[in-house]
Amino acid sequence: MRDLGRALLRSRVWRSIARHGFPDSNRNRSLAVLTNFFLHFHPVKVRLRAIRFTRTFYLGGLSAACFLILTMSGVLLMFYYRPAVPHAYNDMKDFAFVVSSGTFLRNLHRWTAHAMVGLVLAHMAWTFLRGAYGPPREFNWVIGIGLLVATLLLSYTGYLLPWDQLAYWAVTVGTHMVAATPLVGPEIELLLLGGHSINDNALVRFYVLHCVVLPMTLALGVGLHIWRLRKDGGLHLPALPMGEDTNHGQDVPGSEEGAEGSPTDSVRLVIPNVEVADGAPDPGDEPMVMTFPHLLLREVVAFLALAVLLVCASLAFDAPLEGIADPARTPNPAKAPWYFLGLQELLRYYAPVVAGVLLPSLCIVALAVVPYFRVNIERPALWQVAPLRRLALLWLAIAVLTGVFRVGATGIVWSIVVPLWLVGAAMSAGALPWRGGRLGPWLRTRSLPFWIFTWFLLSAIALTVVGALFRGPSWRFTLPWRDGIY
Amino acid sequence: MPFVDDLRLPCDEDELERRRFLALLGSGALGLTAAGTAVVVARYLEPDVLDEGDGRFEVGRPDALPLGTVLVSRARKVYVVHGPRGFYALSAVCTHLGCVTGHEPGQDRIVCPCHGSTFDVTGRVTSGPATTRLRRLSLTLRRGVLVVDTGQPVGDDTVLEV
Repeated sequence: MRDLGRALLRSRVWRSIARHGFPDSNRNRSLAVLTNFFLHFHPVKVRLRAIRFTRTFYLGGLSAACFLILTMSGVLLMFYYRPAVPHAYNDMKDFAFVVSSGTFLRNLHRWTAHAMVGLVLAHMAWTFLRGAYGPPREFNWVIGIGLLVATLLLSYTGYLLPWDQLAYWAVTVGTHMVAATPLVGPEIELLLLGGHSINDNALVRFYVLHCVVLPMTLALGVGLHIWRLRKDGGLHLPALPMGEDTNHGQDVPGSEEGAEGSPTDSVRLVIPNVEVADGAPDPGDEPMVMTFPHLLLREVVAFLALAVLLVCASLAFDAPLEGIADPARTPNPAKAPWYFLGLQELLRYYAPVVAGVLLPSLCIVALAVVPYFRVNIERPALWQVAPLRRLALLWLAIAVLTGVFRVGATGIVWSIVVPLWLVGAAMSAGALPWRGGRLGPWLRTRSLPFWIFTWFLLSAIALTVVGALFRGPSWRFTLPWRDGIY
Repeated sequence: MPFVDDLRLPCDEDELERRRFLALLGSGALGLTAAGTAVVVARYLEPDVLDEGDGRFEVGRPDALPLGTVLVSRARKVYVVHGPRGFYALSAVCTHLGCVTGHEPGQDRIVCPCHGSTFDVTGRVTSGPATTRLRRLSLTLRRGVLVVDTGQPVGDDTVLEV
């Protein structure tokens, strides 16, 4: 049996497929990556620091893995699904009761979609906090923002397809938000829906967008994103401190500022027989390892861990399906999926053109221009110059912002204002004369953009949590432990 | 094979001018074609005929609705109200984001389930986030029967006196 296997590997046919020998030498390992279409976006060697789990938590790779799982499960779902009223809803029932493994597939598709949105958001936040978008990576960050938008649109278009009450009303609210855009809104709504209400035409349009247009766009964008990452020299890593001891097989210095984590808990990866292939000198003294197998192994393990988690979730929890869409009866409350609940909560306070068009567009534009202002990369010490004057300025700005968010609102938007005050308090604490400890220096060294982003993040979380847990019928305030979760 | 470096080939001013003109002409033609394609695709995506039905429907005889009644037609998303000044029809579609509102007979008000806007039975906003009142729809009397036309909005104070 083993001989047969070896003979196959040595056969002309196999050698015509994989044009290199068994990867037991560094030369063949290099060839395995270089000559394989599916692996060629990897370099042959990677820096050891770059493949540490805690460096990136593999968030970008796992997002792409979700996209792969979504494509596969989605194509399988397409074999039964018909985008027409009322077949679409009946097909959901077929998945539940008639189609073998139908429930599982639908669950997998649904939960993976949620996971992808979460992972893409986390990937963005982590990239920001790491400041990994400095030159020459500015445009790749912009592509990343585009990919986030594409992910949200995919999720939004997919939401209509089951044609149940949840789907119908979430999409009704969404399209009315689009229609609130000045001048072009109604025209865009007509093109999106293929009519003036959500019916057969809209379903087919969302289906085509969801299954063809957006996935192709996303796949192209992901390819571009990874290709540019590779051309820009791989993962962004902070420069090694000068004169750092970086011998192979020893601990790798883990923290660039020496402020977080102790250097001794870095990866203890003992790699026997790692020789630098071809005797080529490494850039700098960075410890490198062969992509095959060290990076590939990590990728496979991360993918499998994600797959196991999603499969378990799909076996344990069923994707929700309510009654068939009824244009005459709005469920009370009608809630969007969790990642749009922050927006829906904002809609409680502001006119649709503000909450649904102006604020989201501003957020996206603000995110896209982040790298061009070198935000968060250079960190001038906030309290070094004229601390008292700056403190006064800070609280003036906070008072003005508190006022700005009251303008045109139906009430005080606590979910935005409270994080603003908290961030202001934390910033001010940095100006205090701290003695000893780590918190003081840490607070003092954060930059202004860091605080703004923290405020943005906290507000988004607060709005989402309030929308998800504390809103009941007619969007009235409820307490989840008293009235349950709607 | 010898390499011909076109950047080093001689080129006089006239030739350069000619090439610039041709390049402009060519890119202009391409741009026009692209714009034309975009317009045609947009036109294609905009449906010319819509099967969205007739907005007119009969409600019933006026004497079936005593003063103060709010008749709710869920299927048509319309309220027909007999107010102190006469009859009028209100669209039940919330002016905020298009959810279908509900009538709460106890408090005699109209509430939107999506974002909590409330209206009184004349359609006026009593609390946000909606900012504009519910639309009034054409209500006419034909052969003794009230007829609503959902495709025809009317002024905010229009009532039908019978």
